Amino acid sequence: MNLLRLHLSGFGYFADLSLPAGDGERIHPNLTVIHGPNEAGKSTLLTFVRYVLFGFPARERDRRYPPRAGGRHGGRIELEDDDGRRYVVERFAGRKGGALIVTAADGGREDPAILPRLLGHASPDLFNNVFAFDLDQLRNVTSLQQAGVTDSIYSAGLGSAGLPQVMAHFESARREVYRPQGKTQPVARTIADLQAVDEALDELADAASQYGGHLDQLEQVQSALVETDRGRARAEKARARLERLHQAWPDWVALGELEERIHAIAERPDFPSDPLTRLESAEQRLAAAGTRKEQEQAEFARWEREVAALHIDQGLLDDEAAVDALRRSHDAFAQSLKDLPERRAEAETLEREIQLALRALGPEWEPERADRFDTSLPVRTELREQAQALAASERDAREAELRREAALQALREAEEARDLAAAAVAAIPAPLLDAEALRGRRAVLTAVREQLTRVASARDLRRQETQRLTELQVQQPALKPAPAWRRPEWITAAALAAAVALVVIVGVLAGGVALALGIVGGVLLAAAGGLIWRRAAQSAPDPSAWREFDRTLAVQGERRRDADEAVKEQETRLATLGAEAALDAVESIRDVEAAEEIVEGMQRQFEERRQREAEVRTAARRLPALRRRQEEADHRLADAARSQENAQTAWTAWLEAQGLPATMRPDGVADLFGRLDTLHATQRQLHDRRRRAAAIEHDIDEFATAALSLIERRCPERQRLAPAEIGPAVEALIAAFDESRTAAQRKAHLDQQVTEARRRLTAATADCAAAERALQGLLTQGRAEDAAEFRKIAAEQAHRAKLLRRANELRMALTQRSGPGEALAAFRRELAATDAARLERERERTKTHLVEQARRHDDLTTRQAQLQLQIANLEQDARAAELRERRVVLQEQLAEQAQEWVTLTLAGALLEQARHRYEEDRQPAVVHRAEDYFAHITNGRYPQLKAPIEEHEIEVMQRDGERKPTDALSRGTQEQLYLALRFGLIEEFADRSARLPVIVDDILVNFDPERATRAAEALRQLSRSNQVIVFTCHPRIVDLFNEVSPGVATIPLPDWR
Amino acid sequence: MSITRFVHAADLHLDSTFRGLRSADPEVSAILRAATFTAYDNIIDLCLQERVDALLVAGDIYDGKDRSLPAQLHFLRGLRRLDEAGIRSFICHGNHDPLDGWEARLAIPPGCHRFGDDVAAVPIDPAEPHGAVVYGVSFPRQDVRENLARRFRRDPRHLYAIGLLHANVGANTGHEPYAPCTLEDLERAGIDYWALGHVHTRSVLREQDPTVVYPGNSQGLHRNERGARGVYLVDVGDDRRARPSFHPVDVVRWAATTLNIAELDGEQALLDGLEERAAELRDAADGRHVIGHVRITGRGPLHAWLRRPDMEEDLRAHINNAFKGHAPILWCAVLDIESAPPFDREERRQAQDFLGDVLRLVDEIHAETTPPPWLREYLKPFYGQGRVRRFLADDALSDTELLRLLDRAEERCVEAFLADEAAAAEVSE
Repeated sequence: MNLLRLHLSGFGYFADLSLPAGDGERIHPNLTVIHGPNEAGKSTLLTFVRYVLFGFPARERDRRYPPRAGGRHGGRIELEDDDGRRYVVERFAGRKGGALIVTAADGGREDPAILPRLLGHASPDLFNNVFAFDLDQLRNVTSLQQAGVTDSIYSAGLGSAGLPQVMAHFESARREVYRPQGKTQPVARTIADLQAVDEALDELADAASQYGGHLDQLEQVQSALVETDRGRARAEKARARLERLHQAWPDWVALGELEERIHAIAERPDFPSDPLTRLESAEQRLAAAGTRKEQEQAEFARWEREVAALHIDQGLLDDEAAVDALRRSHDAFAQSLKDLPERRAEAETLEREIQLALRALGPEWEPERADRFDTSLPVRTELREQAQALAASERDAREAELRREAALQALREAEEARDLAAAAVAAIPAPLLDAEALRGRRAVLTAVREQLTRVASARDLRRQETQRLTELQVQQPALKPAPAWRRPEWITAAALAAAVALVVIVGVLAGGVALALGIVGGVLLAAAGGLIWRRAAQSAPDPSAWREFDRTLAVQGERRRDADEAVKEQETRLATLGAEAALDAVESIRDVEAAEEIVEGMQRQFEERRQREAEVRTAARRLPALRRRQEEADHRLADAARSQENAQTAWTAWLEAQGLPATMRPDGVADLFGRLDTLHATQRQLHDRRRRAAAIEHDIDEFATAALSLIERRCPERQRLAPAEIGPAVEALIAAFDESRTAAQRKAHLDQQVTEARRRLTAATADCAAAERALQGLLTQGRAEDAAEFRKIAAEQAHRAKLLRRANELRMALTQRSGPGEALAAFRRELAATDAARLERERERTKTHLVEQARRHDDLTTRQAQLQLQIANLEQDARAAELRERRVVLQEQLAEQAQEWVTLTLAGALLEQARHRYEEDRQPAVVHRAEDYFAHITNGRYPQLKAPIEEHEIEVMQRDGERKPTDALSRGTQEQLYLALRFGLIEEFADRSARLPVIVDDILVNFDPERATRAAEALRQLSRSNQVIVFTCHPRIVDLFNEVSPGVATIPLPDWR
Repeated sequence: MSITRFVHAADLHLDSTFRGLRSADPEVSAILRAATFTAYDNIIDLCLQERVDALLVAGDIYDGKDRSLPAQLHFLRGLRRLDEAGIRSFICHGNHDPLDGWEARLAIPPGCHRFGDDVAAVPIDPAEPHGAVVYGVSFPRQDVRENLARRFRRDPRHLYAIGLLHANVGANTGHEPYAPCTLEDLERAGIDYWALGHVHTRSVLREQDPTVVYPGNSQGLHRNERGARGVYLVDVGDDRRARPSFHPVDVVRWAATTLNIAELDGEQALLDGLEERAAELRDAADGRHVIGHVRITGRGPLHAWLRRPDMEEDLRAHINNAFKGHAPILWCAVLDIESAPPFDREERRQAQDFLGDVLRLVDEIHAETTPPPWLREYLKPFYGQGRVRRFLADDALSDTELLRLLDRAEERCVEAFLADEAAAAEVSE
């Protein structure tokens, strides 16, 4: 496969670049040198080829040479296969290395899978290390260890530079899983866990085998337990019988004694039951009834006394309505007596205030007039309107007066200004020239000034031309041509002739030394002649120059005359203009300036006069308007005076209508209105006070009439009371009424109490009689004469009953211990047949037997529980199940670890076997080819290479047969060796797979000239089978390839910088 | 009317541990521990429900080496239930529970007959000594290589003869060749129905004359023992034809599924796919608990993610968490990541480089009838160690397994070289 053309769309600083650049050009199929200075982009191109053929790096940050000059990152490569079929391979940066497009020569799409076939399925690793490499890669290889070098170079040849690392990785990974003697690796740890589980399971299995024995023992223990329980039940029964007899023995003895004592007391079956209680109850009832009767008698007497002590005025109680009426108005009466003097005093004060106010208004103001005078809102409104009209007319009159004065003042000022301006005009003399004439005079003066300048220039030119003519006339004699004989060629010829003559003469006459001297002299003469000729030739005038000078002189004379004419013409023009400007003579610029000064003065005068005249005109124009304004102001003043007069007349009329003096001003009238308002208010207050005093007097009279009527009726001795006494008398009457009413209420209550006390006294008397009858009845029933005898009989019968109860209790206790009926009879027989000492002996014996039986029972029960627990544990067997589960999980773990170890081991084995095959099958051919190249590059110094199988190293053989390991070689020689090895690999790959282009980037720079030449020859040799592209930045390398391969194709890199 | 009606069971393996589990949480462990017992209870319930005449158990009732008392006690409890219902039971012992193995001294119920080390014939109904008769023999020890079938001789007076035997019929690979025999041996014995045990996968080796049946084990215990497990209910009509019908009794089912990463476009798709697959397994398990074995296969970019450490455990946890708390349970016990990087093997195989050499070498090995001896040489440091082999479930690597691991090794090489090439393309410029 060969590369034909590269097209970089955007790659580093290259954008839209084709290489070679010309249409129809292609990279040479054999050897091409691409050259350019440092940074011209050789490495960029190398990377471009790698990316397009093998894909961009997956991660964006790893992609080198992003487009810096625009374009899309990537491009296309045209290439042809070994059969001459052409393809275009296009790839741009993107996912998964960038999408690949392959098109055929006819433009049809190809399957992208064709590219790996075109590349002979070379891996990127192989291509990057063996087919396209730079000096760094060549050098890096040499810096590795010996074995590493061979590994790297071979594994690169194999298609993977990383083979040694991959193999080492597998080896270390599998050793991390398992080592035969290791203890910490996962396999060892799992096995340890499994061993522990198995040991635990063995222990449990041993326990399980004891299961049968446990069952036998349990059976024996259970039957012994049954036997023990039976014996124990028998002993327990005997013990219970003895215990009953023992417990019954004291009761049995006591029962015998009781029965004897009961028999000794006679039985009284008709004696009252509960006799003493009943006796005491009857006695107590009688005593209590007597006491109550006495108490009721005393109470009745006390109530009757209290009723007799009460005092009641029934007549006063009958007047209750009148008393209540006085009680209600009594407080108001007291208040009225207090208020009446106050109201009277207030009325007097108000009367005094009214008198004072009337006096302040004037003697003509009677109270009636003041009361009648109308100060209502309509009258007040009239007053305000009249006052406003009067004030407005007065204000208008004032303003009209002021305006008139202002108009008069303005008129006077305008007349003064006009008179002043007219006087100023008269003071300025009339101008000699008008404005037009002045402008003409100024223009002529400007023309004169300019003409003066032109006259000066013409005169300057005339002076210069005159001076140059003078100078030319001075030079004229020096430029005359010399005579012919004085010309240098003639002098030189004469000198030479003299020299020859001298030599000839001396030679003929003297010979020998003289001849020699003659020759020297001749030579000197000739030399002098030559020198003269040379100098003269440098300075001799030229006749043509002379003729040229004459022409120049004539021309200059002509120019001097022209200048003269021009001066005269300008002076004539100046004279004409001077006359026009009324100047006698114009000699210099100062004359013009003086004339201009005069014109400027006239101009200023003219301007001032014109301004004053304008002022007079302006003042005269204003005067009529001002006079009109003054007249208008006069009219308005007259109108205002009339209006004011009318307003005053109306005001006077209004005052008259109100009955007020005509001299009053509106503010005076307003003040009067205010005072009258105050007076009216005071009069209203006075009226009110008088009305209230009358009402109070009426109330007092009414109360006094009612009170005196009642007092006359109830207290005839207290008639004719003063008003001040009426109040206390009424109060006393009310108090007497309240006292009588309270006593009447108390008496009604006491009457009820007396009735109730009488009823209780009757009942108590009846109770007393009944109690006495009951006591007597009880004594009769007990057949006793009195209470003392009754008590004695009752005590005897109570004692007999107690003895009977006790005997019954004892019989009951015996029955409870034996059971009723025949059992009781038998029990009594047993008691009758034994005694206390015998019973005690039998009990002790039975108790000891029972303790022994209980101890045996406990032992057997404990043993039974132990055995049952052991059996239950074995039967449930939860621990064993857990352990077996754990074992399975561990086994599974171990299986997984084993699989991992086997996988890693087999991976290593595959690599080792594949490599072994390679070393056996292919390596010899590679080494043999490399040997030829290496021998050529080193000029036969190392004719042979040795690469023993599986030793992973290369040795070189010297010409004398001595072997050298590669690390004994110089660095340059090592580089040459690995270059040769690469060539071997390339040829081997070409034979087996495909011929791929070889791209090298400045790899020869470290070689000495001879070996560089030989390496270049080797590349030329390689280029016969594979396309070779050499990148270099060294012109000498380009030359070198030109030497070893004349006419080699070269492509200069474009200077993108 | 029928001559007899019985249930044929075998390989109960009571209290045996589930194998091939990489982990189980306590809830799952409890269910698994109870599974063999519950399956056995289901057999007893079936017998009672169907009112059969007898239960026949053809060996490997429990694993003698486990010395599990719970297994033996539970078994006897079941037999007692049958006895109380008037149903007879016949048992013979196999290689896992031979007569000389450990056994607790427990009394079998009177209605049960246990065959000894010589062939005996026992009528199902003692009242009809020449009716349906069970012939049987037990393994006296574990390692019986004798053809026990040849000891069977039918008594012509018996109406219907049933042979109860634990044996390996034919060259049944995958099972130890204990008591080996052929179908012809079985035919020659004159038995009408061979109630066999030993092979864990159910199969009817012959329909008639004689009927030869393996019911398989009653509860799958290994990831290879997938699908329904149970017993045969056999009805023998007056025509003396046996009509066996299968009844599943298992509690937990092993099920396997595969997820190919080639079509998956991301990690979430993979997780969703796993959940979908797991749900399918559960839905297909007939309402039983499911122990799943998930394989992730295929080539795709997801492989790089799957190769991260602990991924297998993480994915199993993901599935198990997704189904946690549901009844019946679904527990992913094994998840095998067998995926591979996206890589055109056929294309790369043609490359004349080292990786091409490796791929071709693998192909050569596969082309051989057996893997080359040098391959096993590499494995000696591991499999040569007694200490290690003692604990391996399979102490020798089978050829199939070796070749499977060889493929895995090839994938590792490919991964390493692809990574290496990617690095080379990026660094060595």
